Amino acid sequence: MSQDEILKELNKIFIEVFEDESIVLTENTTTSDIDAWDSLNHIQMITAVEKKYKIRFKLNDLLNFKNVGDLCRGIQAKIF
Amino acid sequence: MIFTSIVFFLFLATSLLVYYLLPAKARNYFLIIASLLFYAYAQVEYIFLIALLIILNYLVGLGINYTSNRIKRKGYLYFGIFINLGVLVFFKYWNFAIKNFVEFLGWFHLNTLPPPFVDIILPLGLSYYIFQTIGYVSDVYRGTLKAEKNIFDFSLFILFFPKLLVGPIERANDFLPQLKRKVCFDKENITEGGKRIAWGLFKKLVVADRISLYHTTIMISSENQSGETILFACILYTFQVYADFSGYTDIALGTAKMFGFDLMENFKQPLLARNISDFWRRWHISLSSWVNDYIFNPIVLKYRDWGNWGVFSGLLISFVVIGIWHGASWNYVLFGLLQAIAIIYEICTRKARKKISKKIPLSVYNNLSILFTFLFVTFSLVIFQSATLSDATTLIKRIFINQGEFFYDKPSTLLFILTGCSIMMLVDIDREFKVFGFPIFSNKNWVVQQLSYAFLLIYILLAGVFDGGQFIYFSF
Repeated sequence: MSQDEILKELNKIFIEVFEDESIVLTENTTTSDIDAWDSLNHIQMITAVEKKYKIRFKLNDLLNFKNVGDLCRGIQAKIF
Repeated sequence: MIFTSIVFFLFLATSLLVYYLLPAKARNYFLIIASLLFYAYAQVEYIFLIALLIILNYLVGLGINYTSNRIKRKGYLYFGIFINLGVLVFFKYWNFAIKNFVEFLGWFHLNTLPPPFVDIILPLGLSYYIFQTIGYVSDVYRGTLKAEKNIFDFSLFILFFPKLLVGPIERANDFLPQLKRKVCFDKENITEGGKRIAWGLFKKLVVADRISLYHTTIMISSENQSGETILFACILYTFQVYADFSGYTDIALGTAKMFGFDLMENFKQPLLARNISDFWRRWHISLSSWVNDYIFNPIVLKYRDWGNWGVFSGLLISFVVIGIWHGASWNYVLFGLLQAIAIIYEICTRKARKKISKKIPLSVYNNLSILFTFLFVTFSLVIFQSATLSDATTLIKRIFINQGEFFYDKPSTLLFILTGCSIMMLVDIDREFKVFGFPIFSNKNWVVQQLSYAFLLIYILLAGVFDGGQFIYFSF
């Protein structure tokens, strides 16, 4: 699965978790770009991603994600 | 050496002169010596403690960096955290822990031996630089930072005197790269730094110390003061703490800027926050973001399967740490717990609040949110400022019970306080909402800008309190 495909699927998860249809993700999107991206929504988003791809991130990986691009690469590394 | 003293400004002027006269390669070494002198002037007896911690953390960083064995890396990390926390606990919390443990044993009539209290004074700046060193070893362990090989650069990261005693709690990732650049003399750095220092002096000497005189008078005679007077003093205390600590930060950042360094911003219009979560993203940012990165996030992410309960546990632990970071006392623990409870409430009610916000005009909703947040912060600072929990309860009772006339000392006291607070808050309101079409202190017109700073300096000389009053956060 390519980075673009993962980004598209992530966009759907973000819209659902953050209840915001206007979200358009790029690799550079960070917490400061989305108003509703607080700690609670972050946890819900991570668990939704893990459920969708049937993966489990390591704590250290999660702490080092700085933007959506890092998250995409983290998913890609886990599913291949 | 207090940032508002003549000695400090003589030290600053001399240091700047020598710093820029020296060849670029020698400047960082000079800053280490200047910072050691600065620390020794304040508290010479703990100079070896800080030197020892620098060496230990430097070696721990290298140990983690140059070991690929996962268990050994973890061992180095735990050793580093144990040493740093051990020093902090011994100097700051030992007597508090022993006192409470003895009281606990007393409930079961088990305290027979004399308690092992230690007679020590708190090393200055300990809570600030220990958090920096813990952050450093954690970042090296996580792989987000390479261990610093140059012990002189690592020493200056800890010792840099503008931030040594009261922060900001700087991150190695932001500060260490600045030590690798060649700093050239830049007139802009000196003027920008000077303006920042002037603004900090205004907040400290005119706003914080003016309020302090009035607030102290009311608090030491609160049994004889009316409820309205105590309430007014409590509201002013919120402005005092903000002016005091952000004033200190302005002087620290301005001083660093003069040497060509950018330190972390610690405040972002916190008294205009719309809720408590928002407040903690704007208040003492270097501490709250540290706790967020090294305590809250690891807890909630590790226990993400717990859902909301994981977040609530993370919040309670994080805010107890923030509370007790201020000092070994139960009132600070309660202060922290109150913040956590308020944020948990905000999480639980956010859907309901969103619905309400759609039913009333947005500006009314936002202004009410700012007002309620301010009142909650003021209430929690009543607990923060009281020596004991019973003192806090007594003070709150007196607000509702005490009768009498409103005491404002002299009309000039009230005038200076209200004018000072208004100027400080108008600048914050303009930064937050961009409401004024004519910025004064940041005006692009050179004449307007210089005149505004000239006015500020004259106002400091007219209304400032020059008795060498210490900064509130100095004692933490």
